Amino acid sequence: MIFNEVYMDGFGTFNQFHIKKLHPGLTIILGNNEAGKSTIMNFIKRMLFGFPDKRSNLNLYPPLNGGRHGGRLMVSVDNEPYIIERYSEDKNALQVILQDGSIGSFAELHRLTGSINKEVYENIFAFGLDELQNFQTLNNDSIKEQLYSAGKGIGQFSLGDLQKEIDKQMGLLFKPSGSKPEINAMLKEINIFNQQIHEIEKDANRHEELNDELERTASAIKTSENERKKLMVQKHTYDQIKNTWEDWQKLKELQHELSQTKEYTEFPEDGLANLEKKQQEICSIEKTIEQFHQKNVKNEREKEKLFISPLLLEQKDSIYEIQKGLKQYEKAVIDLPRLESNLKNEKNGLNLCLQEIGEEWDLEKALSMDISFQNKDFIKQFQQKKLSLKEKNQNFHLELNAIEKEIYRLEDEIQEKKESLLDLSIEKKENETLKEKEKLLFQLKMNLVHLKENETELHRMIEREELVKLSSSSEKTLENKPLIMIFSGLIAVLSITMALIFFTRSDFLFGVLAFVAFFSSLGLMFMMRQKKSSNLEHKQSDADKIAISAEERIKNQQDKVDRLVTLLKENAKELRFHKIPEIEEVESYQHALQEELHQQKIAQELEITIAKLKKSLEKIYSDRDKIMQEIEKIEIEQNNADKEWQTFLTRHSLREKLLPDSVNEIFSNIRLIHEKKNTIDEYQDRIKQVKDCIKDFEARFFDLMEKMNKKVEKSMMIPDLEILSRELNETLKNYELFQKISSDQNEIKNELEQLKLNKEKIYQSLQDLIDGVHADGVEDFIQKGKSHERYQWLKEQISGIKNTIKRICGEHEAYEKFILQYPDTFEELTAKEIDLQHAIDHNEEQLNLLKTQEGKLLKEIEQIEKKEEGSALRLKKTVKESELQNLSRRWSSLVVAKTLMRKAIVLYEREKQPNVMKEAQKYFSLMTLGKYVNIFAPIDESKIYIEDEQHQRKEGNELSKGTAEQLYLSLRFGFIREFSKKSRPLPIIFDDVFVNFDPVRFDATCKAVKELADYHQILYFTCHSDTAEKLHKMDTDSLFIKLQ
Amino acid sequence: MEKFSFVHTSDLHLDSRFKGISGINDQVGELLADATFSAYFSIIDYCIHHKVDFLLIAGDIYNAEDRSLRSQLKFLEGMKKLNKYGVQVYLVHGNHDPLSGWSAKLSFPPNVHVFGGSKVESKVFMKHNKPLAKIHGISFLNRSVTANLSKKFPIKNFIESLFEIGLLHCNVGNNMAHEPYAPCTLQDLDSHELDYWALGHIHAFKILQKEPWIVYSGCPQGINPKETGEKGVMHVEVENNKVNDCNWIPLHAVQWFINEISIEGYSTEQQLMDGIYQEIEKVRKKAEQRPAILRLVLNGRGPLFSSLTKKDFLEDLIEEIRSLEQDPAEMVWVENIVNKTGMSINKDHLKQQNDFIADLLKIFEQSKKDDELQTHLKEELSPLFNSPGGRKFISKLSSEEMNEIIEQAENFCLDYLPIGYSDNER
Repeated sequence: MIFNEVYMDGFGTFNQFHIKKLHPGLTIILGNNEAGKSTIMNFIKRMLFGFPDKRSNLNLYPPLNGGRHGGRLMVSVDNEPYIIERYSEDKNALQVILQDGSIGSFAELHRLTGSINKEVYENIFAFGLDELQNFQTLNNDSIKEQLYSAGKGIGQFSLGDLQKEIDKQMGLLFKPSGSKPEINAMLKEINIFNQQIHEIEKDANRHEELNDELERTASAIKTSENERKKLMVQKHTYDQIKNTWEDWQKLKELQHELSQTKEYTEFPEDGLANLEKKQQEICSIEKTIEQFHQKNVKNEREKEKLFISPLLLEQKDSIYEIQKGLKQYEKAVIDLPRLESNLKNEKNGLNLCLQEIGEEWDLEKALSMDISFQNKDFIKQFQQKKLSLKEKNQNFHLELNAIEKEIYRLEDEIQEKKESLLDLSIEKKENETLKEKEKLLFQLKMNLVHLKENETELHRMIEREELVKLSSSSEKTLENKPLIMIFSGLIAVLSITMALIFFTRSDFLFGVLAFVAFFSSLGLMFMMRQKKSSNLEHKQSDADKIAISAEERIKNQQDKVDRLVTLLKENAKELRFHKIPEIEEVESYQHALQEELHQQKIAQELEITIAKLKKSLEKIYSDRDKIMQEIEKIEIEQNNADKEWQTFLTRHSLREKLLPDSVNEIFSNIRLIHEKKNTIDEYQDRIKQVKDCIKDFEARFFDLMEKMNKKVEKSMMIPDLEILSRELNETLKNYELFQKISSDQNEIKNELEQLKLNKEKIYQSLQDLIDGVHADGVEDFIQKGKSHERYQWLKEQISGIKNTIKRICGEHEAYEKFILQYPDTFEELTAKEIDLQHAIDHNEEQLNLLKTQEGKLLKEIEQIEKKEEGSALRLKKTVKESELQNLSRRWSSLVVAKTLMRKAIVLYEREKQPNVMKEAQKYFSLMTLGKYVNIFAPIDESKIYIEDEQHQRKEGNELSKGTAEQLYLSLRFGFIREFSKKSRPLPIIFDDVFVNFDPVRFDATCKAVKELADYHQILYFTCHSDTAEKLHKMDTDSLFIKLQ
Repeated sequence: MEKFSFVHTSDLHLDSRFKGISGINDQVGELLADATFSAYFSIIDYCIHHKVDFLLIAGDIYNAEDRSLRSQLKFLEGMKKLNKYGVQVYLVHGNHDPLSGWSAKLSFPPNVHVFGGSKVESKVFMKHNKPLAKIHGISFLNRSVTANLSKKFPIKNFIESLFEIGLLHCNVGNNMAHEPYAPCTLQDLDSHELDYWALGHIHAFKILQKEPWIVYSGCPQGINPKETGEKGVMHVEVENNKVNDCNWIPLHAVQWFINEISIEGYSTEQQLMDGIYQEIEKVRKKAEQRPAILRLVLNGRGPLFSSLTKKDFLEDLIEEIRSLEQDPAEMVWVENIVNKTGMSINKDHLKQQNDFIADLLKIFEQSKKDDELQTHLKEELSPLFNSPGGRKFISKLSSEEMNEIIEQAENFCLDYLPIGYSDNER
């Protein structure tokens, strides 16, 4: 890389400061203190590596004299220019402008600088006295790494970085005492899994234990349940004894009584009951007979009380019939007056209708009038026809009015146009003649213009010819007057004289000027001479040629003019001009002709319009005639319709000139008369029916009354009929009752006979029963019977009780076994029962406990069996173990990489001295004039040793200040040389680093610098003019810049 | 003569831990945790559906050392199901579930016939009250049975005229890939003239001999990434005392795949991705609508080596591939991508240079052979390997592994260092 230009926009005291050219080799920049040397050096460093943080203690070089803080560095790499631009507003705003105008950033800058870092550049490439004197600046890791990496075959790559990277990756994987690295965390995780799995494995043991316990518990439950069964059987027995205790006691009593009671085996079964039953039957029959007798007496009495009218029974049907007709009769009596009144009203209405349609109308005429649909339809059609004809007529009249108005308008317009045409009063000319004239006028005008142009050209040619003649005579005059030549000659003489005088006086500057003047005047003279002779020769021959051609052209032009004049005269004559007119005259004539053509055009248009209007008028006249014909037709139709109407009226005996609406109204009234007539007829029929009904009812009523020997008033008809009806109903009711009593009496008689027979039979069977057991009468029979029944009852009771007990305890042996368990007393039983209950309670308690235990065990077993996480956990653990294996192998490979690389580094550093040292010792030997020949830098020591010609070794800090500085400078030179073997050379900046060097070593160092400048650009900043000059003398190609 | 059929299985390894697996999520974890059970219940369903007469299990039903109650309860559940359908079960215990090992106290239903461990027992299979087959078997008393158990088996009784089966968990022909328990030779087995030897212990299906049949049914579910391919059972149909039909039926729940992809020829990461996706689709097709777990091994040398060694590159790649898997039924889960690729450089050439790289490579080479150096390296590794956790959970490095690690370390350094940078180069 080479710095070409430096532009500081605003940096420290510099504002828009531009160093426009820097030498590709050595540039010496001389400046007093505070001239800005350090500022420029720092500006360059910051352009390359950026601005420091504002919080740092470093001088930020703010723009004290204005401008943007920052600037540009114009550099070239491999002969290609680049601009590095930075401003402090934004630290990241680095721009590397490439040759093609594209803009790069850090990547491009790294490429240009060979990825060198700031630390290395500032300590090795751009340094001042402070850095030079401090060995530590060469001994930090970064620089050391760079120093030793040279020659390793890995370029600028940092092995330290790789080792750090390995350490970092190892640290992320495993630390012996860490917990976060992946392996540590994973080991912890696996341990947790292990614990969890162990817990689950414990479950398996627990499951086994639980199963054993469950087995034991189940066995205990079974034993307990068997015992319980036995106890419950005993309890059941006691319950049965308790439940049958009373029966047992009673059984014992009954058995005792049975042994004391006599048994009559011949006594019939249910003998006593039979006796009692038969005695009760006899008693019951006697009672019934008595009841029948009493009933007979009662019936006779009731029969006597009943009233029955035979006459009423005879007329029963007639009375019913009259009763049925009563309601109809009553209705007829009420309806009759209303019907008569309605009839009267209808008749009045009818008369009114007749009066309304006219005096000439009577009922007969009205009823004979034809009011059929056809007549009505005729009236309707007539009305519509009349209306339609009227509308048409009106429309045609309206149209006719409009046409007539249009006729008036058109006639007026035609008249108007005609008047306009008369106003124009133009002479009619042939349009073609006018057009021909217009064309001739145009030609005349064009020819006039051509004539003018040609005449002007002719005059111009004649004038030019005269001028040519005049100029050739003036040139001849100039040739005879060499004033300029004489003047030039005088100046030449004067100049040479002055020059001689000045040179003799050693006044060289004026002498030279006088010489210049002399040669100038000589030159002028020569040029004038040359020019003049050549001009004269040329001009003479040209003038002759021009004179001949000009005369020819004038003559041609004159001919042209003459031809045009002849043509114009002909044109003028055709247009009746007496002579060739002026252009203005022609234009005036053209104008008049245009006006005439325009008038002609208007007149033509008017005539066309009038013709069109007349055509329209004729069409409208024709339309008017057509409409008038239509109106006449309509009027005829109207008359015909009216005649038909009159015929219709006459045919129907209607008054003349009746309007259709009136006829319609008459028709409506006639229809009403028809309706009224029908209603009156209906009323009359109905009144007749009602009157017949009344008459018939009254005739039948009075006939009945006569048969019943009753005299009745007409006004009392209805009440009498009601009385008669009531009497009939009563007679009928009594008659029915009489019939029923008679029937009952017959039945009772039959029953009484039957009862007597039955009574005899029962008496006989009763005697047979008593005789059957050899009893002395009923009392003895009863005595024997009771004894027998008691014996039987006791047997039954005993058997029943036994069965009851057997139902509870079982038959046969079970019963026999059961009754043996009855204690003597109830108290004894109660005591046994209490003991048993205690045993049961105890057993139940035990069983409950065992079942609870069993439930718990089953639940726990179920819980264990349901656990399925063991599989997942084992799988997870396996996965983790696999991952752990992988990680451990990865960590191992890193450890191996680190270990073996460390070994390789040690080996390399021991066996191979870096090339940097070799280069450095070359420069050191040069600077110390061969006093020191070797430099050593052991890898495991932060020291540098030198060896003199006598192979005496010294440490860096044992050297004098100047020699130490030369050593460190040599090391830097060595590094720079080695660096540039692998990367692009970078510019070197020294800030007064040779101040402690003695003159001899200084000269030697300058030689080294010169040698270095063959490969690198060097900017040497100094405030010592001697140093600057010495350096400049040593390298005469160098550029010298002095800062103000 | 009546026909009958049976299914032969072995090495169920119920609730197995899937040794060597890494990189799974919860969903896959669940799938794997249930895989051995799923395969087992597939066998049960298969027996019921195909109305087989009995099921033979030739040992290693579960891993006793895991003390997994779940495995035994599930096994019992399957047995009960078979009992319901009248399918008999004859089983022997193997080295992973020996009689002396832990087992839960569970009562098997009457269809389950377990062979003892002290002598070979014989059990007769009856169908419609008619004896049809005789099964001879012996269980492992302890985990390490080194005796040749096959010698205890009887010779076929030709008078009885029954189909005779030998049920045994053993290592035929001293298969070095498996523990040498109950070793025997093919000749040993053949000499008994039994009609069918139902063997267990070897997880890969293999018919050692036909007529008489000597068969390893293999495990029904691969239990570690290396047990690739389909896994299943033997379905045997017998008629007239002879094997009439014999089919191997795949019944695995999850299939393992280890596929290799060479990075040679790939210059971009996208090309590698495309190659991986193609491989995944091949696996999906092969898995035939069953979930598959795929371990990809990248090998070969190429420019992608550098990318592959970048931190988290492979992890991110796996993550991206996994994120595309949607359908659990047809899932291809990339369990791991093993990087066995190398740099595309000539190490021999580098060694000949007179620079640091050459020295470094020579030291790496030396470390593979030099015992002293390896001892030194192991000392450096001891903080991890000798730590309590390391001793407990991390397996020791075999010499083969040590050399692999040295190779990896060498690749790591070479990848980091700017190789081929000559000092004379500007």
